[in-house]
Amino acid sequence: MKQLIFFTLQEVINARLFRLMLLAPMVLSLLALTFTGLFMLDLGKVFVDSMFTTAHILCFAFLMFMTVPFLARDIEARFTYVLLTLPINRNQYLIGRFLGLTMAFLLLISALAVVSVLSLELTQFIWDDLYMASANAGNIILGIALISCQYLSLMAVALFVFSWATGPAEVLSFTFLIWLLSWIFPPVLTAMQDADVAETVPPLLQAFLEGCYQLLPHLTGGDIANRLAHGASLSGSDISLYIAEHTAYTVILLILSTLLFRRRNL
Amino acid sequence: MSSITITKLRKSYSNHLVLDDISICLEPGKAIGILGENGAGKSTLIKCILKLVRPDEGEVSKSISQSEIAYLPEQSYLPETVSGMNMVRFAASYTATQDEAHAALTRVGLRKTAWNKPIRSYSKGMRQRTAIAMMLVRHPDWLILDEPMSGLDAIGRRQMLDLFLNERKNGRSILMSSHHVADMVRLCDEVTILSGGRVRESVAIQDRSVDEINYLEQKLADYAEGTE
Repeated sequence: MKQLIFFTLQEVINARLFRLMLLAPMVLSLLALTFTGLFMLDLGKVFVDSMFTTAHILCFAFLMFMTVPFLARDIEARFTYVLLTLPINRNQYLIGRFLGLTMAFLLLISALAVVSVLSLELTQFIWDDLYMASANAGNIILGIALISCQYLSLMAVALFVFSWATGPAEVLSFTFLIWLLSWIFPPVLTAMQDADVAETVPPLLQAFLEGCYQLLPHLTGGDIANRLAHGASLSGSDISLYIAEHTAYTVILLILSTLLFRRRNL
Repeated sequence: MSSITITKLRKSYSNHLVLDDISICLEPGKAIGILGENGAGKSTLIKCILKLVRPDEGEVSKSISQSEIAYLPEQSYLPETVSGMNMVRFAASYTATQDEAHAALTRVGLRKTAWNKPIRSYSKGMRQRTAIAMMLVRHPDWLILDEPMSGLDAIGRRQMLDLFLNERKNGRSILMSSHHVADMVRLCDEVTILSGGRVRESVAIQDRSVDEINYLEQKLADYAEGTE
């Protein structure tokens, strides 16, 4: 499986789009610095916030423009046939592809973290008198790492869809749908907590929606990043629970994917 | 070297019967052709042998392992961003050494200057050669070829065929599916005609003459039109 992981990594790294993505943090951090310069106060907070938004954009781009087309192409162009007739079984194929993509994703995230920390140092150097103490390298690295956790769950969603989908359109639409629903559900459920709304919604529908929400990845990385940018400290247990939740979600989806993929016709 | 035994294989896709009660024994050391019109079930039969598709009924002998088989799909797709050399090295990493990767690329006649270029710069023929090198580098007992010459020009077809003929001479077992009778007759020792998902006839190739080509073409047309 090791060979397949490194082969997948090589495939991704050689792609022009991925190389462009690796350059993007530098350009985006310059944009973030320009944007930060427009503010008069809390420059550190503004800069950290901008870098977290950059992390969301890059992670989403990697999910939709690298992971999804990469997996979809394996089905469409029948590269799966070539790989599965090497001494690779279906489980090794699926896990190897996922881990290869994950390694490329981690490379992208690391590049972003390094550029963010260097840019923060520059911010500190330029606007020393207006600098906000809570914006430090540790917070930036932690925020980016926690944001990337939720996209790892979404990559597992894409793999799960791939395990039963028959073509690229299905992989793209279902992955996008799940991402969209994951954003839509929390405000809907919060609104349903309101006494007036709760009266009009049948309990069965409420329970159904709650159940659906539990099946989706919880995209709360934005809230965490917001707290970090505002200097609010996160407890160790909060961080551990968040990481454990996304790791468990990813592992469960990987297991389900292998079970489905093992039985499907190619 | 193991034989491949297919017993009472049946496969349908949403009520459309693709393979119906197929039983064949593919003897090692021979080149065997599966001849049939488009939609006859040739690719599905190969996918069943490779366990890419699960048959509804019947089985393919378990005596042959995955590492003994190498497969060349119709119009093989190879990732655009990787070089031919790295593709073959990847295939070699499972069962062969890196030196053998060089040897395989030389054997299939891929120009040395192209080895380290990304596959997106390759022509169709060069891609096919790379895919064949990926097969050969693993030293499999069986080469399973699904329409290997499809989409190639006359020169490309000729070169591919010569390559497979050479492998046959070296004692490699070959299973090739095609609807191109002349290629079949030149390469194979035995041709099985598949039509409408059923095995119609097996013909031993004797002298590879034009008469044999004409005979098989007539038979194929008769089965496809339902006059036989």
